[in-house]
Amino acid sequence: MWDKKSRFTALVQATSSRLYRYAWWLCRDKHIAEDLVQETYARAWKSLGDLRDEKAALSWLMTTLRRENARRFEKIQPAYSDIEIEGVVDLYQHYDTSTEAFVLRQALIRLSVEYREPLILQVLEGWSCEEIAKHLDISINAVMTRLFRARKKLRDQVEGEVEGKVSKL
Amino acid sequence: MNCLKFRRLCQVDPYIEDSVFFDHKHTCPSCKSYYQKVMDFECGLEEALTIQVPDELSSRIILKQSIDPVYKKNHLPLQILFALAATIVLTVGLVVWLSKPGSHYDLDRIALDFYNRNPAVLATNRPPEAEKSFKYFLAEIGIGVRKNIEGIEHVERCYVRDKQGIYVVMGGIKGPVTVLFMPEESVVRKKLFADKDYYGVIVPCPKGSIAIIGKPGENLEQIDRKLRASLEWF
Repeated sequence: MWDKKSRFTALVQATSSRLYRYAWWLCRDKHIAEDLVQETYARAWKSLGDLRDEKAALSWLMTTLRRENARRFEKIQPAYSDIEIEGVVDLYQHYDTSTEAFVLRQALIRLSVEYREPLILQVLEGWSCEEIAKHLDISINAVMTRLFRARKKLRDQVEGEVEGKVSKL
Repeated sequence: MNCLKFRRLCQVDPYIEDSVFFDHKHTCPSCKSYYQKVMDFECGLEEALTIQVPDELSSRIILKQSIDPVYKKNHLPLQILFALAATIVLTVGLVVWLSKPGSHYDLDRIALDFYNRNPAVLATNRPPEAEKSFKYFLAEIGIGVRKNIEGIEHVERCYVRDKQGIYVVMGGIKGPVTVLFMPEESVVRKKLFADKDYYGVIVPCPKGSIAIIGKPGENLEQIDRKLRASLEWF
């Protein structure tokens, strides 16, 4: 029987990279993502005894991380300003979009979180629609709809970018 | 599975492991080609999603675990917390119960104080019609006398913790016996108390309780039975 520290170390080594990627795609900031991961493991340490099935560890950690991320927004008090919305420049338009992966990543960043999250879980983690539905606490049909729309939006955006580049030439 | 359903599924879950899905892919050349395009897109998608993980991330997490006080906090299991809470509630409850009016402990001492008054009361102040007063005083606290009780030597109204009671001295086989009627002092069960100089009991009755104290060897049970047979509570 492993002691708590050995068990924790093994858990971190096995899951931290995947957890970080999930965190990054939720917040799209490397510092916040690392904070989220650290906070998630701090919580995991406290209730490590409750984890009976090691196979369920990643799912358990991801659920904890998702809650941690949601907690961030509970503390935020948005500050309003009088800037005209038309005057705000879309910074993404000035990025170099020469490679397909980069274009796709920018499209993923623009994708709203409700579409992006199930896609990350499916593509990166290989989760089934049923597992995603359970994790997000929505129906399987809703997951399927979101995945369909996410891919369609990505395709539209990528194709739009490419067409834009071609027409500029 | 038709082509439309296949292509829709490609957009929802191209990683699905379903024999019908694969059968269609192998039998329909057009959908096979479509599937290939989808998988090319998925490869690009996976590449785009796989962002770089900071170096030594897991080492930093493990290091934090060994030095950060957040990890050192020893959280007690829920069962222990519940047990602690239950113990505190029980202790507080016991203290309240012991200190509330009517607890056995206080009534023992009060009854004993009256018992210690017996010699002085009997020596100086002996009312002529004790049995008649007994009947009258008991009626005031809601107790009727069905049958006369012999051997009543002294009766007086008294206060037990600021509530009306009746203090009675009657003859017993070993000497004077104190009977204290306490209509507003309820006890849950019979309680005996004794020392080398006295022997007492507090018994519950339909209205409050009665304390009976005599010398050691006194038949208190017989007195209790006699009282219950002769009195009625209303």
